[in-house]
Amino acid sequence: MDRREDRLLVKSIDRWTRMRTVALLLLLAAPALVVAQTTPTTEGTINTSGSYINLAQCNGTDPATVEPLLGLSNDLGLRWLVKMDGTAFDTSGKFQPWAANQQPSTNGTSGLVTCSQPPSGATGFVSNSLEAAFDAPLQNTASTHSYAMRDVVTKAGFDCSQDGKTIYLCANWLQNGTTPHGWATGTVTLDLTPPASAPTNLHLTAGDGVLHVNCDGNSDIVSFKAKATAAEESQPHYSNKASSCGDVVITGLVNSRTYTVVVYGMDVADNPSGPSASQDMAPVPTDDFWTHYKDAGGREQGGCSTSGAAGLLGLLSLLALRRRRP
Amino acid sequence: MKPAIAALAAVALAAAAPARGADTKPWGSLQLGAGPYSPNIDSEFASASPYRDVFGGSPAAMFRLQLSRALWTGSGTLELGFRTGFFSKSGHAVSSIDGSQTADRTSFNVVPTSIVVTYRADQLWDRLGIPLTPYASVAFERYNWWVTKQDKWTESGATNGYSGTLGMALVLNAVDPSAAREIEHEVGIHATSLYFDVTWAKVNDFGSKKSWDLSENRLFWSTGLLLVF
Repeated sequence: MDRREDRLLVKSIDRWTRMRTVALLLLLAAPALVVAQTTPTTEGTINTSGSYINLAQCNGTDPATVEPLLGLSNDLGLRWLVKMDGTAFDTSGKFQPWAANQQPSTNGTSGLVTCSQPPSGATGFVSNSLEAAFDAPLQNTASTHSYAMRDVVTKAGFDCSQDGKTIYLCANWLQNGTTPHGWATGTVTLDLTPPASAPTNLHLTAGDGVLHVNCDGNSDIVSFKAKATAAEESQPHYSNKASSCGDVVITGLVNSRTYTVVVYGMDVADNPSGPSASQDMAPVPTDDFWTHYKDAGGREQGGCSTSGAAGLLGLLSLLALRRRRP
Repeated sequence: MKPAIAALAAVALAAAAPARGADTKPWGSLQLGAGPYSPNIDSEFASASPYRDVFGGSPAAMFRLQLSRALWTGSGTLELGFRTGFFSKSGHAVSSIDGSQTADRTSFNVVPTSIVVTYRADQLWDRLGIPLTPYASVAFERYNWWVTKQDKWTESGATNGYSGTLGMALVLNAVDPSAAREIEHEVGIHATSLYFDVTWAKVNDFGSKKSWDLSENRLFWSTGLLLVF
């Protein structure tokens, strides 16, 4: 056997050894792979329609008095998706949502959150279901439910004096309608303190059927909204809500009619401040540049002029003739 | 002292830059620039000033883009080109009752279009290596304009006229001749220049009694980039 044959033999043995090692590793890993394939993905997140519950929402103030100013609902929308794999899912499963004053129990191994159970060592844990368990027959489909914010606060064991508290929202997927197996969690915060002071330095500018608003607001105000009332009208007009007071515009007003305007500042939870000092102003009909020019006696008629078009045609004709010459 | 330094610099630039071969004929040129513009609309009034009332007295930038085709090359280049651009000035609408300024916005917008005949004395650079190209042009002008109030069109039209321009281009090829040769080889641009020109325009429908005057208040000057390719 020469050196070349020696090298080939060594190579062949090496290859066989490597193949056996890989086969052994695959064999050892097989149970782990099986577990990974059958462990269901069971967690999820509850998305809420808002991150905060403000004072009016907590008190359940009549939306008819809140919505025109704030454009808000008193209901808290919850949307969650619990991803279940085929081995864990069954059509007899149910969902049940809860509100709690602390993060509910979490299993250290599986991570399973049981919404009704307190965490280890917790005191004063309160958790109440927002409604009775309901069928969750569809796999990997988002559930959307809404609940009165006042009820959510109460079910979590809070009241509307407890500013800054966090409400823990939790939904369990109950296998066979009884055993928690999947879960989704989220939070919402009670923000019950309105801005410390109303906007100041209200300044109005009139436009054609509109009033433009400008003002200053303190640091906890993040948006502004204005209200205009007139003696001749039974309903107030509300502006858009804008993050800068200079972008607040009240539209749909009657020219030459005097409106009394106040502006409100809102914090992150849309708690409104008190009204600013009021100002009166009437929208006015306005002239754009063209109307102002014509009113001044301007001679331009508008439209496309024909003067000079003949000259242009002549020029183009000359150029065309020049190009045709050999 | 300063003129002497400038002359020396010009000679040095000229010496550094090999002139373009006389047999290389350009296809045409592209000119991109801008200058301050304020139309002479108020000139028709003895005492009123509607343009100034709404837009104030300061000019706004008019951007211009011109593409020209070389018609003749010999001692210089004669080109025929098409020029367009954009101008917009925004202000506050005035009260119909007392003329005071209101919160509503109004704007005056112009898209000037021109047919331009240009003569460029580029033999200074091509044959003598002096990196300066004087040029002159005449143009038929048509200014298409429109007025808006709160972003809605309220009136539009077009006003015709004519103009004459005198300008000077500084050929940048002289600054870095090797880069210029590479650009010419790769992209086909023979000369890259910075230009400055002055335009006298009469854009009033040739003196029509039914037209306003969109000529620049004084002389319109503009500056920008000129590419000969």
